[in-house]
Amino acid sequence: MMTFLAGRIGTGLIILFLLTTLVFFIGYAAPGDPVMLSGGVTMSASTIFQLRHEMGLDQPLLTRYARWIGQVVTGDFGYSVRQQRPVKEAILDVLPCTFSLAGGAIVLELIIGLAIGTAAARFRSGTIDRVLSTVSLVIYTVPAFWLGIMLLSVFSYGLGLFPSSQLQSINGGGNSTLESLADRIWHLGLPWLTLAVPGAGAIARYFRDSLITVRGEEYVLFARSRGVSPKTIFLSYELPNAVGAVIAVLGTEIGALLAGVVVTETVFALPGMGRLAMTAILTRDYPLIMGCTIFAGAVVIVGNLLADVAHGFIDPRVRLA
Amino acid sequence: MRNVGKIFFALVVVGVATWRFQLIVWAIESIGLSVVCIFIGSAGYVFGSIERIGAYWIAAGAFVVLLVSAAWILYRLFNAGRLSEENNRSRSGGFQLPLRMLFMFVLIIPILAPFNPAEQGDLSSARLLPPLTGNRIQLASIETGDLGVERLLRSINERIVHQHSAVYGPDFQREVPELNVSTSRSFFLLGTDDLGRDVFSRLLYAIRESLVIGAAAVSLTLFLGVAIGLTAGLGGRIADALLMRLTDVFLAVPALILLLMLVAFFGNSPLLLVTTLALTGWMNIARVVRAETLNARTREYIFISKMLGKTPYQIVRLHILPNLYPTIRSAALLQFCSVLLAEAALSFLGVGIQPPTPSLGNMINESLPYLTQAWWMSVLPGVVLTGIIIAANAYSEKHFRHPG
Repeated sequence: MMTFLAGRIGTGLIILFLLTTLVFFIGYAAPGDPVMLSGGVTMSASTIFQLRHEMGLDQPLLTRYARWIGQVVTGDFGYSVRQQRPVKEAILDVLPCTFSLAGGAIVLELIIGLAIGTAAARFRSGTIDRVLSTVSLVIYTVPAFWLGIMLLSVFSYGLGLFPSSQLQSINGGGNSTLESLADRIWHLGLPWLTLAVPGAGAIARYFRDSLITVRGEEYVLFARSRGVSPKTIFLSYELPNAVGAVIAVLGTEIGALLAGVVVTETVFALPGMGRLAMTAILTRDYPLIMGCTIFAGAVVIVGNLLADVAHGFIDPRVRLA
Repeated sequence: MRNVGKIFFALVVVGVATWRFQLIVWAIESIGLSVVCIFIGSAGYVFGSIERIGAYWIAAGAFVVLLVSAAWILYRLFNAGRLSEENNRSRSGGFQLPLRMLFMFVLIIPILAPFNPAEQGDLSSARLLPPLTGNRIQLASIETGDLGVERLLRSINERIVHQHSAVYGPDFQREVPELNVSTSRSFFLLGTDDLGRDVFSRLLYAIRESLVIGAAAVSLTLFLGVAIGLTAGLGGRIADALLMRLTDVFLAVPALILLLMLVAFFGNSPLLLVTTLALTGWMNIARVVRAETLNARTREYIFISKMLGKTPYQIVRLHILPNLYPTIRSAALLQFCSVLLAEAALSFLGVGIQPPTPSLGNMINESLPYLTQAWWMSVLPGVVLTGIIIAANAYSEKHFRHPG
């Protein structure tokens, strides 16, 4: 287990390093001078020269690269002129919002996905299965941003059940912690659903297939012939064996989830990573864009790592591969 | 059952032909006359305006092809008994037909769209009209909604006729149809948007935009993916390790975020958009191609062709690539879906295809302020987008999951 873990972490670190290199070279190849973009055109020549020197832009490529890597390793992504603060601070500021959004979405995704998958496998090849499979295909393909808008116009504008934007009410929802928590959940309901539904479609499809495969295995047949109750069979034989595929999917879904975060936060006007990245892009804030990209990559790599480890924990065969 | 689809297709083509008869005739006439123009030496006049009317020429040409194929389909249906053997044989070309239809559809969109997607209506009367409403408005033109194009089509005709009558004498004189601009009752099938533009026409053009961008991006993606996959599979251990790490890196960043970064740094002209979409989408195809190549490479026939002295290029072209086709095809179709989604998301976020050009994403974006007033503006583009993707998904599942 330790060698497996060490190998996975090592690969993750190598990929992270290559990613920072890639981001650096994309930034290097981009047209436009960061100094001119950040300060406008009214600066004097000496100011420009000094700023270029301060930002190290007059150094040769390799020196700049080494400096960039050094910065990233120490967690410093540079200074965002537009935001008037370091990139790291700007990113750390929005993390709670994004993580509560993504975390809740993963939980919801698992609940919906596993429920649909189980039901479809239970009524295999019947009408229910066909309906549920179609539903999961449809919700898997529906574009997240459009789904968000539809939910918004039905549940928020139409029925008035949910708020249309922001993370919490102006007064924070109430005085007690419980009330403000409830307020948060009320505000995050629609974004969670928007983010969870496409992933739930994918999970449902994989879970159904893997559950059906497991159901045909001999140990399940044996347990059934011994008269073990269906509930026990499901919980202690089928579920643990079928859920491995779901975890593997979840690992790859994290990337899609982060992409979904960008559009969901834009639709629901939530102050998170996605909004930050979009602001950075619309204002051409290069250091912030690079910081966000590397951060997103790091989250995906860590997510994949966790999924791999969890998969290896559940299924020993993965550890040996 | 499959004849129903064919008859439907033929009927639609014939219906469009009768509905758009005048426009098609004009376009074809102007193609012919423009060719004449080249010979009598006033080609400059035609080619100065070719980008505006070129789409109509191509559309008319494509439509003639469609009309001929519709006639051929009807002919074959009525002679089904005699030609059944041939009928059965021609069904095997499964993948070719829908793609061809799709691109025909893309080509004939200028003829199908009742209005010019960029032409704004009268804001006092044509703004935010719900679907299925007509409106008595000062319409730019009855046929295309694009007065400019229609004038061009006609003035070319007029001019040539004029030239001809100068060369061949007044016998060549003939009737030039009157330009019939009037207030007429126009009909908006799917309503109008906040600027009084016809949503149906905009949707058609948006589909064209998405499909063209998607197809271009997928072609480039395929090229990149296959090249990288083959190099990794055949190029030895070092190349393999390097390229696969590169693939991992590109896979590590969510495609949308990488796309956003590239768009922010390099801009978003359609060409750059296609390149960017390809640069962020080649990884899965490269992986699949590499795996298949590694698999194929250990086969005996490769070994034998090596012994026979075939060059590596010959081996790849004759023995490895053909084996990859089924995998590449299904991967390409899935990639097409994700490219459509990515492009729509980018346009929705305002960094993809830029506004005067309609695209499914920016139509949804533009509908945001009118969610409560005009449901058709936000619902319809999404339904179309989801529909296209579901159709492509279902198609790939039906044809590729159970080969044979």
